[in-house]
Amino acid sequence: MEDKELNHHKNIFQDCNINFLIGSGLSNPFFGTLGNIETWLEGLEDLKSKKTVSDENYLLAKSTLYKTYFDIAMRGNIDIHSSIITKDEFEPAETTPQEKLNNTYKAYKDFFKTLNHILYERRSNTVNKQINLFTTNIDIFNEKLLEDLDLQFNDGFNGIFNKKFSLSNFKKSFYQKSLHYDNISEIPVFNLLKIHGSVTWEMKNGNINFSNLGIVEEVDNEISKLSLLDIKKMNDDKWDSDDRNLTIEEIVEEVDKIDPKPDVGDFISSYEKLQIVNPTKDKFKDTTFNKNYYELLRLYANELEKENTVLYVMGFSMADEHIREITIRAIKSNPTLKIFIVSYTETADDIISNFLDDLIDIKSFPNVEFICPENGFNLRKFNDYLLFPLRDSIIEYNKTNS
Amino acid sequence: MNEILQKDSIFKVGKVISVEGRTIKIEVDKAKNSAHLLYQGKLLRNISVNGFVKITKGFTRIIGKVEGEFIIEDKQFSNKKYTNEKQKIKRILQVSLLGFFSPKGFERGIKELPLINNECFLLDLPEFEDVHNFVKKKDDPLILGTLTHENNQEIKVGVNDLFASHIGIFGNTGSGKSYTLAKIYRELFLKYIENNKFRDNAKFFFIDFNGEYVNDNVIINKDYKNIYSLNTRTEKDKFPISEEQISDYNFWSLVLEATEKTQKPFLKRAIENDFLTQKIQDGDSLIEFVKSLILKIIDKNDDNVNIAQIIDLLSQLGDCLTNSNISQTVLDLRQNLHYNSTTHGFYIGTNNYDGVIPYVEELFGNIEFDEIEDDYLSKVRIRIILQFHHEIINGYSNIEHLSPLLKRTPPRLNDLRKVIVINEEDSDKNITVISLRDVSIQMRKMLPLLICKQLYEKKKEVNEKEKYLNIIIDEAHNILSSISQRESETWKDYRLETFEEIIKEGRKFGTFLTIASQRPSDISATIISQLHNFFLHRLINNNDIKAVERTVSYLDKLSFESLPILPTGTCILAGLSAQVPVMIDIGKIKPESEPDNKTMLLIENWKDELD
Repeated sequence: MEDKELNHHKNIFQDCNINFLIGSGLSNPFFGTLGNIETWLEGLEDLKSKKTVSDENYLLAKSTLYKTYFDIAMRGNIDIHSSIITKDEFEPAETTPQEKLNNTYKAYKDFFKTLNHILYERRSNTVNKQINLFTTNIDIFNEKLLEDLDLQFNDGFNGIFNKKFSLSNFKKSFYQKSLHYDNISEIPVFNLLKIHGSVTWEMKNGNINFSNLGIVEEVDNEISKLSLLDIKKMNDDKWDSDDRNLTIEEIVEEVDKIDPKPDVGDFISSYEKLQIVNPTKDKFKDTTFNKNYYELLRLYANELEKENTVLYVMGFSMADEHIREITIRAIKSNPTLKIFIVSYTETADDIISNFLDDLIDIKSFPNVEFICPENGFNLRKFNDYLLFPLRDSIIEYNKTNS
Repeated sequence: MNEILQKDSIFKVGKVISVEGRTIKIEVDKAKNSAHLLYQGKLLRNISVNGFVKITKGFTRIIGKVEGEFIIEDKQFSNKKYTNEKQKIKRILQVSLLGFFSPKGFERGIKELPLINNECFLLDLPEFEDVHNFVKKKDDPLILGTLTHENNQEIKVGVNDLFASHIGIFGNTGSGKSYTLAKIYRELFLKYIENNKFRDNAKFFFIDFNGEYVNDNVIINKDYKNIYSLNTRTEKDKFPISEEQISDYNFWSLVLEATEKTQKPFLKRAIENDFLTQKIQDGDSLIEFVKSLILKIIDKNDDNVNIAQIIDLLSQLGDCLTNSNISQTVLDLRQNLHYNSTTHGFYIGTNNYDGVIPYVEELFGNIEFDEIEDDYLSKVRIRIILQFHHEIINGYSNIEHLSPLLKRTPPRLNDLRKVIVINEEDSDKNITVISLRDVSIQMRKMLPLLICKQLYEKKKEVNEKEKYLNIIIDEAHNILSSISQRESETWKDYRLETFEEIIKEGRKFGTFLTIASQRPSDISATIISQLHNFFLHRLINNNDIKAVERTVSYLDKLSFESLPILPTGTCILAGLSAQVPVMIDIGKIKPESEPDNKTMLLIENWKDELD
């Protein structure tokens, strides 16, 4: 990165409200991408409404898809939770799940550690020492790392025996009083806003409570009792033989062949306890949860409307139309907003085409800038590219000036 | 429409609450305390001391510079209900007006003053660019560096504005003067050096006292410049000087530091004497002339002018002839020729008064030599010797007055011989660097003067309109100081007159000076006051700051106050080429083209093992 560009980011970090929008790309390589699950789930709902699938097959296919989703995006949380990673360097190879976990963990660790450092060095009387992390990820990487690094963060929960989630818990500032002089100084705080819910949430008496990984383990337990189709493998085979993806009809056919059909009732009911937004268009099942979802979106919108705000979009392809819509509105209405879109690919085609769905040519906006120096630009490379140089320049700067 | 309103709301910072002459006070209505502001994806500098604000009065847009800010607390606080601590504090900016926007863009100067309650805004990017755009239409831009307070803003000046003017670069040692000088000229040369017209019509002379610019690629690649590394200890390069100049008695009175009343007229006589010209045309006539002088001495029988004078004359003459046996003659004379001060007469051997003249005749018959030294400097010397003896013997002049001059002549000529060569040809390279690092103190003072005078006289004489001459003097206090205890008044006056003439009149003849110095207070006020553009680096000494203050009238208070604390490599550009005085971080030069004057790193030289 050139000095001029670095200076630009330095000034932005110095004087703006900092927000991150984090998508599933950031938890790569540990969590895979969802692939076609969304299409299949929607296709299944479609078949059901057309009455072309029996109820039994519907449930079985649905649970098969849920299981696949669970395998890809949730089970790993148990490993994250139980792992104690002391190694503070990247693995040279990235083949085994453990190596993938270590590398993802390390990249997140560098990310939070550096941000915290930069935030700590920022002394300003107009912006506070807070960073908002908006994320659609339901995994627990963020909380795990923030906890392991012993940083102050705010995930919206309050309480001990009964940790309740409430939006009013955000927007808290943390100060520490020094022992000797009663001086008060602000501590950097990360506000963690999980827009799509989290595997650690459960519904209790109409409130969202913190359940740790109880539900995930329960679902995992239910899955182990069943033997369901391995859709991922089937899809891979299909791709190898015919060079195309599996269709939902083919999945239903395969499901139909199973005899005897397992009872998936327990699995589905435990799965549906998860307070997450499933990758379907149908995000409006549970009203309480939905209320929270929209409230979080509202917070996102409010943050983007503030003056002198910067948003770094990372690992997120803007496929979620609600978030995309709010972002576009903010880009158009707030001239003091700057958005940096950090893209995994150099061309950022997926992001650009997602915006085109709303007939928006995102490149034409002066306040949107892409950061995509190379292909395979993941969190680790982002740290090397921007955050480390930024931190070093700030520290160097403060060293020579103190 | 909406966009304009929105922009106004973002950019508005407050309103005018007092107008006192050029100083305006503005009450800020928002805690706009961050250093930057985002607008349309661009970072703008927020209001701060040293920044600019725009005050709108009707259709006029007046531009001012923030010189200070302070807060006023509402004293009546107790009997009012404030909901917020912030409300009882007013933030006030003190702004001095600089100029206004006309249809042509930003103009310096004030036509209208704002009124109370006029609104005040930040400058948006185009306006900011406009204020910092010093390049007039039809002028070529030259990028010198970036704005110190806004590193993304490049500072460009117009080539015409800057180089058709006298430039002063001042700053303490180590503040980056030479670097700035190198940068300015490097940028210029890189831009034009490939143009034949530039090479034909522009000449640049660097007078370099410390040898900072002589290395191969300093400022510009060595293929483009003549380098004269002058040295009075061992012969190295020689600077070409025209014969015309060297036959000017003024030149010689400078070189020999002749006194005004007696020695200078003597020199004039010696150098312009046609009668001598004939005498030194060939060896025979010279010997004949010397003989006649000696016979005159013998004839005069003067107590004061006797053998010593003869021996002086002969031995000095010997220096100017090649392969001569005059030393033999002198020995012979010492042994045989005597003077009796009681009888006031010469004799040889033992009281042989009559044999003197035949003896001398015979002696002269035996003198042999190849030829008279024929380089011009030796000829001048012979003239001086002969003229001196001629005048002493004939009693025209007083020996005490002239002999110091004669004593000074040989060493001076030797020094001069090592550094100049008589040559009329012009070099085809238009950039010349003259290093005086290895030149004796005497010559250091003298050479720049000789060179500049020659260049300027020639330029004046020819005076072609399209030809341009620029003389660059680094460490100019060496030759432009108005205070100097060690030299004679004459010399000083002459020295200053020369340069003052260039700086006062040079513009008409296409001649410009660039002066870099650490002591502006030392340099003659006439010279400083005529400079058009200033690059001011860190100046600590109060006299120096005052010297600058007296002459740079359009520098604002704030820039003055920052003079003693400027970091190395940062300077204030003020003058005709900059609409507003700006603080610049001078851009980088490639390492191989940097001037050679790094401060040494002691540790590197002292430690055997570097960490």
